[in-house]
Amino acid sequence: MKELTLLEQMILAAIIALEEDAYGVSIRKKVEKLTGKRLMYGTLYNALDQLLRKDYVSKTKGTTSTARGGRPRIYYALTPKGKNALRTSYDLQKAIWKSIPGFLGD
Amino acid sequence: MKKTKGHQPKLGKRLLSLLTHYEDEFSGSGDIGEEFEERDLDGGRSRALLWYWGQVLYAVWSEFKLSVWFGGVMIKNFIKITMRNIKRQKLYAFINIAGLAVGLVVCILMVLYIRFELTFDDFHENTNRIYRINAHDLGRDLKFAGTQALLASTLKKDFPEVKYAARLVDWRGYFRYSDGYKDTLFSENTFFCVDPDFKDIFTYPLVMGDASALEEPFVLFISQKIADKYFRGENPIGKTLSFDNRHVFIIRGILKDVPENSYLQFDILASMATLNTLWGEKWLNRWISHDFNTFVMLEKNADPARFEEKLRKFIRPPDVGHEKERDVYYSQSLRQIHFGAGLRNEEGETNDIRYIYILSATVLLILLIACFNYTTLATARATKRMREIGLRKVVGAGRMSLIRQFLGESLLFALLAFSIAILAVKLLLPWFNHLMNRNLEFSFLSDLPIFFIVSLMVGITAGLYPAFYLSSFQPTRLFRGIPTKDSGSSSILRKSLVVTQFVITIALITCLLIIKNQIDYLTKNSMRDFGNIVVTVALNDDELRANHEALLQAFRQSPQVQDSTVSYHHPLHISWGMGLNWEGVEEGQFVRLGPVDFNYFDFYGLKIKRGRKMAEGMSTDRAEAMILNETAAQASPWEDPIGKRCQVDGNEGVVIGIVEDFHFKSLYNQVEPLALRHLYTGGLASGAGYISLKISSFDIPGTLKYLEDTWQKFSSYFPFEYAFLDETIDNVYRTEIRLSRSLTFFTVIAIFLACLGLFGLTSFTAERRTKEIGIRKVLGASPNGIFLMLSKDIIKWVVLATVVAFPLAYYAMQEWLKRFAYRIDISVGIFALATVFSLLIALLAMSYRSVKAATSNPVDSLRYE
Repeated sequence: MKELTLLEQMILAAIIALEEDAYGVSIRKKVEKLTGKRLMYGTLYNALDQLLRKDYVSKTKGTTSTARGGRPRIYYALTPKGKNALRTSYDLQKAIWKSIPGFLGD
Repeated sequence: MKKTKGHQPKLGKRLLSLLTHYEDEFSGSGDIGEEFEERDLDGGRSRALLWYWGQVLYAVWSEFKLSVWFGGVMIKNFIKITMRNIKRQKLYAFINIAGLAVGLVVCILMVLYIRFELTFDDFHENTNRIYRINAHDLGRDLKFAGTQALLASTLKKDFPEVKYAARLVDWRGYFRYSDGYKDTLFSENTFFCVDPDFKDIFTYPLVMGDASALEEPFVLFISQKIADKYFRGENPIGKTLSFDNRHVFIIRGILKDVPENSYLQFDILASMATLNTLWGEKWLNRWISHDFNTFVMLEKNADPARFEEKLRKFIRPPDVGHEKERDVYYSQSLRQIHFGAGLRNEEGETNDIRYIYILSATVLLILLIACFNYTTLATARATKRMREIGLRKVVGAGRMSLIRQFLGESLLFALLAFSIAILAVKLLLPWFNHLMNRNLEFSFLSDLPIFFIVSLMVGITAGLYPAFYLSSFQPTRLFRGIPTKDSGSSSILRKSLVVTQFVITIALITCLLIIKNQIDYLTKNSMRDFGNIVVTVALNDDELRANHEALLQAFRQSPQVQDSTVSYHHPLHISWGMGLNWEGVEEGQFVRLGPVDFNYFDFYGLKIKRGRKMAEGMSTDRAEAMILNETAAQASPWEDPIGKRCQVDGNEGVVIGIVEDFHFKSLYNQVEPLALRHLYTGGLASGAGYISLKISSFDIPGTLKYLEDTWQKFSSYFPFEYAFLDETIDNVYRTEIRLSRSLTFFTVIAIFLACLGLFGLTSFTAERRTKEIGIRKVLGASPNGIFLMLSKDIIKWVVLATVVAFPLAYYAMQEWLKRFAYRIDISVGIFALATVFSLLIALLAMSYRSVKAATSNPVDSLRYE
C-alpha cells in the first residue's frame, strides 16, 4: 500500500481533531492552526478526492439552508481504513526518526 | 455585479458551480463562499475579493488537473507529453501560443474600449429619467440639439411630467486669478452656463460649496482638477476671478472631476443668471435661434412615451419677426446622446454606434482567426501524432479520455496564451489609450476572471474539432502505415478555414484602404491643399477685433509670414445663418453669411466662376459687394444673380460674382448656400474674428514665438490663441480617424495571424512532403517548379478569398460612406491594390519554408528517416 503524503496526513489529523465538525472551511482552518500551512481549496479538494477514492474518508451531507448560497456543508470522517493508514504513517515516521536519534539533539 | 456586502460575487459563484465535480462532491461554492463572507466581514472587501478570486482561479485549475487524472490519464503524463510536444515542435507551439495570445490581447483591449463607450452617462442617479429636448426645424429640415431660451421654463410650467428643466449653453472667455503677487491666466476658456435645475438633474457631485448658489449671477463652480491646478493648497471658495478684463466671478463650489464617460465635459460651470449681464436679458427670453441645450428630468412615474407624444404636439408661441419659423420638438434620452450623431449644436462629443458594431464584429473575427490557426495546425499535425494516439488506444484509452487529453492540451495552450496576453495588455494599455484617445483601465479584480473565462472558451473552440478528429482514428489503420493523404473532410475543413482567414484579412485590408482614402479626401477637400502651413489666430480681444490692422501689420513684419487674410468666422466654420431678401421679390432665401477681407479668395484659393471677386480698388465693394457660392446662386430666383440687389442682415448688397462651391463646414453635410461680403459692410468694424496666416515651414517654433510676442504687445490680458488649420481639420474628423486607427491595428493583427497560420501550414506541408520533394528533385524537378508546386495551392485559396471578401467589403463600405454628403467612389484600383497586397503577404509568409524545401539537397530529404 502506498504511504500517505504529508498533505493527506495533515488533513486526516485535522478531521480527527475536529470530530463531528469537519467540513471544508473548518478543515482548512484547522490545518492552518495545527501546521501553519495555508491550503488552497483546490488543493484541499484534490487531496480529499484521493482520500475518498482510497476509502480512507467517508462523507455525509449536512442540511441545506439559505446560508452559504444554498449549498449544504459536506462533513467528513475517517473510516477504519483511514485510521489504520494514519497509524501506519505514524509508525513509519517514528521509525525514521528513531534511526537517527542524534539528529534532533544537535 | 451587485456588490452587496457579505455575498460572494455572482460571477464567481457561477464559475464555481461549473466545476461540477467540486460542487457535487465537496460543495465547493458553499465552502469558498462561506469563508469569503467571513473574511469580508472581518477585513477589507478588496482583500477578501483578492483572496476569493485567487481561490476560484486555483480551483478551476485544480479541478481541471483532477479531471484529467480522473479520466485515467495521469496529469503528469499529460503535461509531460504536452511539454515534450512543445519542446519538440517549438515553432508549432510558438505559432499556436502567439496566435492565441495576440487574438486575446486584441479582444481584451477592444472589449475594454467598447465597454467604456457603452457606459456613457450611466453614472447619473436618474439617468433613465433624463432627456434632452431636440428641435426639428421643418422649414429647413434640420435637426438641432439646441433649442430656444424659453423652452425650458415653458416645459416646466406646462408639462406636469417634467420635474426639472435646465438650459445649458457654452460660452467662452478668459479668467484671471490674482493673489496680489502673481497673475494667473486660466488656460480653460470654455465653460457652460446652466440653470439652477442642472444640479438636480445630473449627478455631478460637489466636493465643497453650495449648489444653490447657481441661482445667483457671476457664480462659478470649478472642478477639483482646476482647483488643484490654480489654487494649490488654498481653499478656492470665495475667491474672485476677473473675466475678460470686464467682469468679476466668485467661486462658490468645487465639483468632483467629471467622469470621462460623461457626454458633457466641463471644468467650469457658471450660473445662467450671469448671461443676463453678459448677453442682455432679452436673449434669455425669446423664441428664436437654437442656442441652448434643454435638459429635463421627468417625474418618477411619468410615462416617457406620453410625454413624447405631447411634446411633439407642442407649438411654441410665435416671436415677432419670426412668425413663419416652426420647430417640432422631440426628446432624446441622455444615454442615447453619445451615440446619436447627426444633430447641430451638440455640446459634447458623440460617437457612431455603427462604429461600435464594426469594432465588435472585428474583435470576434480576430478571435475566430486565432482559433482557426490552432484548429488548422492541430488537424494538419494529426499524422505526426498518429502513433501516439494509436498506442494510447491500444493500451486502452477510451475515446472520451483522448478527447479530454486533446481538449486539455488546447486549454493549456489557451491558458499560456492568456498569461502572455495579460502581460501584454498591461504593457500595451498606455499606447492603446493614446491611440484611442481614452483613459481605459484594466482591473485585475473584476476584469481578470471575465477574460479568463473568455480564454477558456477560446481554448475549447480552438480544440474541439481537433479533439474529436484526432480521437476518431482507428488504431488498426494507424499501425498499418501512416496514411499518405489525410482524410478528405479534414483537408477541406482546413482549406476552408484558411480561406475564411484570408477572407477576413482581405476584407479588412480593403475596408482600411477605403477608409483611409475617404479620410484623405475629407481632409484635402475641407480646405484645399495649399502646400503651405496655415495658422489661424483667434482675435479673442474685443479691442483687437476692432483694430486688428496694426496687429496684422506687426505680424507681417516677420519674413516667415507669407500671406494673410482676415475673416469673421473660422474658415472651417462659417456659421451665421440669415434670411436674404431680393429686391422686387417677395420670397426670401436662407444663406450662411461670411464677412471676409479682400485677400480671402486668393488666400484660400477660391475659384470665381463668373463675375469678379471683391477688389480694394473698387470704391463700392467695401460697402455692398456680395459674392454667392454656386449653391446660393442656384437657389436664387434669378438665372444669373450677378448685378442683382438684395438685403441681408440689414445691409444693402449687390451680387458681383459667383464662387465655386467649397467646403466651409465638415463634409458630413451638403454645401449650404453662402454669401461672402466684406468685413466692413455697413461700417461694422467689430467683424474681425480670425486672422489666417501662411507661414513658411522654416523654423515654425521661432515664427510662433514671434507671433506670440507680437500679440502680447497688443493685448496683455488675452492669450495668444492659434491653431494649425490641418490640425483643426483632423479634429473635425476625429471619430473617423479613430476608427481608421483602430482598424489599422486590427488589420495588422489579422495579417499577422493569417501569416502565422499560413507559415505554419506551409511548414507542415513542406515537412510532410519532404520525401516527395526529394524524389522529384532526383528525377530532375527544378527548384522553381517545386516552389510553384508548394505555393500554387495557397495562391489559389487566396484568390478565392478575394472573390468572397470584395463584395463583403464593398457592401460594408458603401453603408459607411453614406455618412458623408461628399465621398469617394470605391474604385477598382483599391481592390487591385488589396489583392496584390494580400498575395504578397501570403507569398512572403510561405516563401521561407517553400524556398527552403525547394532548394534543399535531396540527399538530406530522402535520408531524413
